[in-house]
Amino acid sequence: MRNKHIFVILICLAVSSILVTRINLYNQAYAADQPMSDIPVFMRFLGEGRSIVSSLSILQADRYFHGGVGCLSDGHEQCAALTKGGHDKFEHHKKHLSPKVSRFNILLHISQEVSMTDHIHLHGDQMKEIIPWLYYASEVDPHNVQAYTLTGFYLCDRLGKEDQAIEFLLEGLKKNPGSWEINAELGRIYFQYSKNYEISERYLSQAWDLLQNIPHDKAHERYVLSYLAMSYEMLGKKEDAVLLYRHLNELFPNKIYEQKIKGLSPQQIQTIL
Amino acid sequence: MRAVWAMTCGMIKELIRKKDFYILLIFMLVFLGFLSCQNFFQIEGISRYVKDFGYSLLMFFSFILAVTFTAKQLPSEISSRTIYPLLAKPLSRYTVIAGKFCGGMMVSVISFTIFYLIFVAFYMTTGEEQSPVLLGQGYVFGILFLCIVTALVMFFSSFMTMSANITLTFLIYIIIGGFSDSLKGILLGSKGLAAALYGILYYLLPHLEFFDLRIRITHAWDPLPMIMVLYVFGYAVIYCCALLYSAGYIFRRKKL
Repeated sequence: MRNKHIFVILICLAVSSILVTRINLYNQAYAADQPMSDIPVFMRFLGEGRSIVSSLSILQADRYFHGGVGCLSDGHEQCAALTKGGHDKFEHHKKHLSPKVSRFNILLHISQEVSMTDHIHLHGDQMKEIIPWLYYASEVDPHNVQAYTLTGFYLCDRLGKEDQAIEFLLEGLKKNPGSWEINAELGRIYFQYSKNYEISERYLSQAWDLLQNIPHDKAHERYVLSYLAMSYEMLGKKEDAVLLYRHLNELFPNKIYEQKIKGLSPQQIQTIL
Repeated sequence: MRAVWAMTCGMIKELIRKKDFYILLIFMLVFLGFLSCQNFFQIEGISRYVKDFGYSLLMFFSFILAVTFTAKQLPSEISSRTIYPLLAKPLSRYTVIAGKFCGGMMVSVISFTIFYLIFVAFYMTTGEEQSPVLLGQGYVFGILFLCIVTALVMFFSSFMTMSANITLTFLIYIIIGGFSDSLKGILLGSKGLAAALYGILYYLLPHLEFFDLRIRITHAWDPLPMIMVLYVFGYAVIYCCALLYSAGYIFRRKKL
């Protein structure tokens, strides 16, 4: 009798487990264009929690980048330090500021001494330590575009694994065909590292087309267009490059853009005008 | 003393006889082996996440064994009525508490030592610079952590049922693990009566986070200064003594 009950419970669990991997309310309601087939079956059990786990994995990579120490509120303006570029611009305190505690308040004193407060960054070969977390972030949620772009950046720019970065980004692009970020990242790597300006132009143009269809800020526009303009320049398409530099100069008035525009021959400018 | 030793030996035999420890051991081996074999973009020498998972697992598994083994000692003795011949030996109730604590402690330390040896074996295979002092500190702090956990479980079992005891201990473990920094922040940011109340709460709760050297070991930070090790050691001893004395006091007044 008891075995029969256990058998029924097991059957119910098995059926509900099969059903649960098929049900994804969020995807059905808001993201019908994102296929579920590219998500591993055991990951589907997480349901919508996948995106949370994936984001946590990226945060963990950020902690690793800081030697295991979380980002504390010490005037550190940009918490997600892992995000490319911006981090180095901010001046850091060598230590996270923590309030002074009396030596007689023994437990608080121990707590402060035991916990790490130095602000450090991984450098050189140590950068590889964040890769597993970024990889898992993309595995858990294949639609987490940031996981792909960050992995691509660190693989290529920090670890010199250009081919692996491109391969990984292409895989990401297959799962997220509408992502301007992955297109832009691929374009940047082809421009900066592979020096294949035709392919970089193709990806960056695609990124620009996608970006125009969604709300975006000026910085994103500058990121895509500056690489696209440079690709045009390298391909000898000066007219197209000048048009983009003019647009960039309107967005962010800059002497470099002005020089780029002036650098063209009068004939070329005449043709453009 | 002989009675305490006899109770301790009984619990060690229970550890050997039961399957809990072996299951956790196999799980840890399989999990660490799997993580070590992972290949990320043909990059060699990625090790920190293995250390991170390894240390977290060994602490958590040791915690599980410490809690489950210790929590069932007193309630099972009472429910099976074997506590009466034990008290008729004659053994004082304080001795019973001390014996059960030592037994739970020994069980936890033996399992922790085996887990730790496996962790160190994986740790040694990584290419990163290794600090024996830090590993030694990790081992000592692990034992101190289990000491506090065992004492806490003994304290709760003097007036709680086994399931309530296990649930509450796990809750404390989760709360302290996740919110100790927030509690400290609230305490430092509050004033007046609120500060006093938070201060009392802060001093009453067991600070299991003091014994967690995961980040130091994983990210190859410097070992703790000796004075801090002594402070933490002192804290663990005082907290355990207070818990065990309270457990003995409550158990002495309890009607069996």
